[in-house]
Amino acid sequence: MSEFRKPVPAPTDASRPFWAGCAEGKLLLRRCRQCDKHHAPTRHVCSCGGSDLEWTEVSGLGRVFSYTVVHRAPDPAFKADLPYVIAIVELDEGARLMSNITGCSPDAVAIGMPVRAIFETVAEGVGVHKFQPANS
Amino acid sequence: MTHPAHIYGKLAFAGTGEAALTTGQVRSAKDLAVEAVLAALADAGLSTREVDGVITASPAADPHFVFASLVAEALNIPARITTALQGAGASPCLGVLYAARAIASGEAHTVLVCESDSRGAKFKGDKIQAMRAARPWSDDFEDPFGLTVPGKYALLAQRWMHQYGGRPEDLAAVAVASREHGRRQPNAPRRDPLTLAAVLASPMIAAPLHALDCCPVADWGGAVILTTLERARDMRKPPVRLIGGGEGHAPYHLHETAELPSVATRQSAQTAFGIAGVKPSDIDTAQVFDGFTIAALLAMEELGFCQRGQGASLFAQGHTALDGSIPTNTSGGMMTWGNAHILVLPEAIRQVRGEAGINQVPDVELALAHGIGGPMSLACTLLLGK
Ligand SMILES: [Zn+2]
Repeated sequence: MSEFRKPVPAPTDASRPFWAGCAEGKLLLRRCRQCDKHHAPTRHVCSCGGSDLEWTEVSGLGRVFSYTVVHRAPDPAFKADLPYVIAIVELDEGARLMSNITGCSPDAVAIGMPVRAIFETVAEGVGVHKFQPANS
Repeated sequence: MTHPAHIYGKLAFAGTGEAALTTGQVRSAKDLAVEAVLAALADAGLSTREVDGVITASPAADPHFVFASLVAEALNIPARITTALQGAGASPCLGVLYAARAIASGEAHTVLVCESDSRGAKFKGDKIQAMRAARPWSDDFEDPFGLTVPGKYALLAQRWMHQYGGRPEDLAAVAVASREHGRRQPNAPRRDPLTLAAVLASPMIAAPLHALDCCPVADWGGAVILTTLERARDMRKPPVRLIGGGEGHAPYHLHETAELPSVATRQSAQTAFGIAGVKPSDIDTAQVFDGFTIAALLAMEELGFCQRGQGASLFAQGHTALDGSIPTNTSGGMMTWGNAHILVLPEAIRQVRGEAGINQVPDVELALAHGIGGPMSLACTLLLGK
């Protein structure tokens, strides 16, 4: 943990439940109390206009919507991981999240591949969501 | 709401200028803006004292607080409106829209729109890391995963290939087409032809994007002057009318906008075409955002120059060449000259005037200029005519 120098989320009062959830091994989305739609943590208001969104634990299951294998890192802290996979994951509950795919060779990743969430704790009370092939 | 169509047709570009592309000079974003603006004013035959509005983009490598005021001060412009836009690749075209609105409302009559940045001088060594280090914000929902700017476009490219059965060589065809236009010019940084094989053999940056799918990094400055058609008629060069314009919007985060078709460019084009009362097949030349090969390809699809999924064949089959059905990025674009989003405007103006030299498309009546930032969040389309 001590050598973790990658960018770490800096929770705000608004985003803290999401990162704290990750630290506890739970994936939370914002669910609209008015229409039940689930949203990524970056949305504060629903497409129905409802602003009463509640953090709701979801299955952590989804599919790769798109991905890239990164060969040039944004920051020296990522160099040891090269090449690594960044993916947009579409969760079964409907929202999409940016993340990494780990636990398999980059060559094994494909759009539509079923994945499940795993979590990495990166600071006190702060976790980050990643995904692995669902069958691993 | 009524369309703001009444402002179009009565506005014109009176001048355009660019800072000289050189290496080894040390120029700030302000210095580059000054150089480009003075060239644009000379082109129009105006003094800085006859300008009353300044709209700039916000430089990324050389950021400055209240940048438009810094530029207006350096040029001694008695401004009645100024602002620095934060629309990334959309800023220059969007700046023209805001200038048009200001002139239509009577708040200003002659507005400079410029964009400049010293990315070439400031981004030493690894450009991707330098760009990240210079970025004044962080994003908790992207940065922890090691997402890069090329990585964002790669996510779009992968999705495009999946949806339409595309291949990496389809993307590479965009870079090859740009080089063909760029290399004809005597001051081009690269004069050798580019092949699909060379693009595919260049280092992988973020699959499926190779190094040559990404535009180079350079210092640049560009400026255009928008004024009333009436005033423009008295200036040095024949006016180039602004006959339509529109913006388009989508969410910021790519986890929301990676879905294709992306809506921002389509929305901006529909508004611009609607105002001008023309259609894509009426356009004689298109200048579109091409910071990455996939970006130009998606732009051409959403601007309506081909069916969705067919963007690659436009480039691969020569339709975007100077003698093709829609000559595109005729200067060589950002792929040739570096990440200067404003390049689309000077080139569109030159094409309408018949001043594009060796890369002039015959008989240009209508030109399109397009910018997008985000990468898919904020788009702007402008239509220019004689
Ligand atoms: Zn709702």
